[in-house]
Amino acid sequence: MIAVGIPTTDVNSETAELIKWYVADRAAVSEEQPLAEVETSKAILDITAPADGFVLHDARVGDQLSLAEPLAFVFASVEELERHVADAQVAVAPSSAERVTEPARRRAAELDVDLDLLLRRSGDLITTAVVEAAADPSPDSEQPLPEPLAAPPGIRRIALIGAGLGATQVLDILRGDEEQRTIAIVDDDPKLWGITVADTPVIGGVQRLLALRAQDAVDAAIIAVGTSVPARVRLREICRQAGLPLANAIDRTARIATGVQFGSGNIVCAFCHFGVGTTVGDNNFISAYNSFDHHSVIGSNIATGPGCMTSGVVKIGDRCRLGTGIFIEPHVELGEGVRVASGATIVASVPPDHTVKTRHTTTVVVPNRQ
Amino acid sequence: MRSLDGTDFLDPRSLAGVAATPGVPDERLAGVPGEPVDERLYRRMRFIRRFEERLLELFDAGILIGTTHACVGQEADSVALMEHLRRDDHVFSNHRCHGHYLAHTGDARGLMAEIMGKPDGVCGGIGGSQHLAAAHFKSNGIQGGIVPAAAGIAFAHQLDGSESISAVFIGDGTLGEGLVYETMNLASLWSLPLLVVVEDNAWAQSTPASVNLAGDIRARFAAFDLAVARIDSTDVREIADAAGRAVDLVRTARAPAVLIIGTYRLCHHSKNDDNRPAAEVQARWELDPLVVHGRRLSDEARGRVDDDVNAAIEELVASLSTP
Amino acid sequence: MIYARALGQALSDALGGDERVVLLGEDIADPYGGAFKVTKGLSTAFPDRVRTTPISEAAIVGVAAGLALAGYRPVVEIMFGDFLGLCFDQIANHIAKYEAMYNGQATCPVIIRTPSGGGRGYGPTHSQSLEKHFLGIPQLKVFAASLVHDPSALLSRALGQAAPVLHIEHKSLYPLEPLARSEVIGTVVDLAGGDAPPTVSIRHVPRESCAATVVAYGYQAEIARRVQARLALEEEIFVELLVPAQLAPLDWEPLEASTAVTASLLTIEEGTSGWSWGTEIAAEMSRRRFGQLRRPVEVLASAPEVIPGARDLERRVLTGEAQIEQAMRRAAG
Repeated sequence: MIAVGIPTTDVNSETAELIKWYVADRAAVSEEQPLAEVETSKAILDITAPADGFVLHDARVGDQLSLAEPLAFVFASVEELERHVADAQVAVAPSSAERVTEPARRRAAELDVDLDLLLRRSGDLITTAVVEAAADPSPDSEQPLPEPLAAPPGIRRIALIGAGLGATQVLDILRGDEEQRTIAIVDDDPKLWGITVADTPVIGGVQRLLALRAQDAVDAAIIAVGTSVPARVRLREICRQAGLPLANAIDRTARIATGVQFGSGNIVCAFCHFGVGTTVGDNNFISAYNSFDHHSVIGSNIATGPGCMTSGVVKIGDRCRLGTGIFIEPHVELGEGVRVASGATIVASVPPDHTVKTRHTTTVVVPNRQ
Repeated sequence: MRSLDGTDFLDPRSLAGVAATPGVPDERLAGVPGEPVDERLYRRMRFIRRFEERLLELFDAGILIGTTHACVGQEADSVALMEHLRRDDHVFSNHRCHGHYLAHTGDARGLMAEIMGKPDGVCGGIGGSQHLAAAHFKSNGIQGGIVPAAAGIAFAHQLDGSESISAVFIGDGTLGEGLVYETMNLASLWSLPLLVVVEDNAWAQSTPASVNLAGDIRARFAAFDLAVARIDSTDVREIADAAGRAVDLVRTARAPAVLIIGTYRLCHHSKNDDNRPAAEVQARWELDPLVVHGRRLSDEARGRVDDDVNAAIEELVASLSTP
Repeated sequence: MIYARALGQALSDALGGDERVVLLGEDIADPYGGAFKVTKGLSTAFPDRVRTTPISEAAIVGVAAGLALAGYRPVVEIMFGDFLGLCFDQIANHIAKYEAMYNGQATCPVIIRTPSGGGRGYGPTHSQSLEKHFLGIPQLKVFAASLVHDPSALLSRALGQAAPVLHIEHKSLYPLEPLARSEVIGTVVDLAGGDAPPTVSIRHVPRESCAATVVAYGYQAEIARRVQARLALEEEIFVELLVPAQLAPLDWEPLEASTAVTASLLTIEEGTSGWSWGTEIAAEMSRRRFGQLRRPVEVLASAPEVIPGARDLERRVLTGEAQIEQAMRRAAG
């Protein structure tokens, strides 16, 4: 029996919708025959059979399918299929979402404790004890918090906000920066205080950062929290109110032509190219090997995947999200909030709040034939 | 078939160093190079006989304890078969394994030491009389249980694609075990190069075959489409002829075969447990294989070989008796 | 993929990776592919080394012994564990003894696989867990498949050493999927066993917060795991579940380490009660932890009766979820 899943090509989607079945339930199918059409937030995919056999539907049209679960099974014979259906042992897989005990849930409600925060903080089971500890946290007295690193005079002192994967990337970019130096990292998860990420200490939470600012011990901040847009918005607001500018982290391999202007809080990864006369707004995350040809206008709060290329005089509006390997012809304008699927080639402008999807057959992995 | 007069016999010295015990088997026991075949055959049977006699004396004297199963009277069977086996053939034997072991390896010291429970015995004193192992030789004391193992070794030869065969010794009493028949069925179906040698000495411990065995022994094997031959003799040359034919058949046809040897045990089953009619036993002494074959030697030769063997065995016992 | 297919794949990899591996068993050849379909496809792929046999358990195992003595790596399938009695002599008096009684001059690395256990209404002679009668045979290792041990890793381990192995596969495991560690709530760790395959520990909270140690194998380990999760999530009753893959000789270290903290031990098996796996563990752990356990070791096993064919009667005899839950509550109490 082979489970047929949805290849997770789309990192921005967590579910896919089953649009239609191409084959009936229990039909005979041959390898690579299309079985179903599913749609993610960025692409329409054909799911094909991994082998010859008989297919058993495991989802209905309209279902929102988790990308981790199969939508069908292929059996080598009808007998096997029937046996599987008849033999349905109560193989209850534990719900992997179940990480909070029932008593803990009730207690959290009583004490008004944010379970999501607790779940994000650690992978352990959330029990009543954990909830009660969170509701009344006694200060973690023993360990004094580390001090920020020293920076030579004349070097801009940068604090990173966020100690996760985003931090390691930004730290690597800044390592090649001759004018800026990361002196500290702050993060709101107290469990991370005191640890070191790439030789840079996590010195406390955002409050500590504001304290540093008040002491004039830091010059600018970079938000290295990648995932949550609301969190980034919140943190930018905090920095703005504290008068703390946001720095740019631009990899030293980036080729920036004459007359290019950058806003603040941008992160630019390796081997990017910004052509003559291009302007870039604020708080953009540009992945490696992006190229924006001459006189392009890149807005703010944009995120791109690696290998995106624009021709000259392209406009990318605020809050656009690009996948990887995207090509944009000259004079094209992407409106605000446009999302583009990986591999798209865009030859005409796209109105705001629209999605450019690609349609392609899925790739499947099969063992070599003996 | 190999000629008994030729010189390419299973030279026990070729097995020296392959077995557990160090050193070369004593020529006086295993065969002097260049001696006539008849002398060699006589010598090797006398070796086994003297070894067993001496062993039983040590038990009677209380120097050895435990149980043992001597093969007095059946020496010709093992000596005859070993004339035709090659180095890579395998022999599996049963509780009455001394003759088979000594004919195969010539290792008197290892066996005596083993039965004495000494660390330089064949199996370090752990196996004892019935559980011996050397290169291409094993024995175990469970009736019938060795037969499928021998078949498995034959199967291994088949998978290897080699010319080797696997031989197993059983007795008439073993034919009560169902496992023998399961194995004959398998060996025949898969055409395994297995030679089953049945030493039919008409008595299973204290029970005569007439009480133990219904029907015919040959027919049992023939029922599985196995090639079966029977020889009733204690003459080592006759038995060797028959053994040679059987070995060649298995080796060339790559199929199982059975050789039934009608023989007789001239000693007790183990110790002090012989209830057979005295007259019957007495009559069989006249067919003692050493006597039958010994007639082919001159008195001088016979006497010389007897002295050789006796001396060698005495030296062995003496050397093992000193602490 | 389900356990039966995963095991079949493991056997296929073993056959493909080592020419000395030979499979013997009744009805294991294609197209039938074995009573539980584990060997499906193998005789087609490896016709010389995957052989179906007559109904001769003793001879099959005996021939495997000979193959092993001659340097091959035979894997024998005994169709039902209930039939192990037919090859007991070969296992106890031959296979398990060769290496030792020949003073190390031979090895006999036979692997005997057998589907065992009840719960399918197959009746008194096709539902038993007879492995208890093989525990403690010197030189013999008894393995038990579970959903938390990778079948391929366990088979490789058996093939990678020279002792004979009896590999018990509860038939209720066959249609289930081995558990991906990521799918199991709680912490799943391998407690390294040195020579032995690791004992898997499953717990939802740190050991210090666990009220009991529960040790189980095979399908009962899976039932125990579900009960353990339910008790944890619904009632915050926390126990540490230990699942060894090698039943005998048993690695005592994980049990010692766990009971040093929990001071309470429960064993679970489907074999009949009395003179069993659990009673051996109880005796040994009571000795090792004498005076330190807060309650006597509890041994949960099936009733010492024939296993009826009728499903509801069978359920009353065999160790089931209800008894496991009650026992776990007592152990944690």
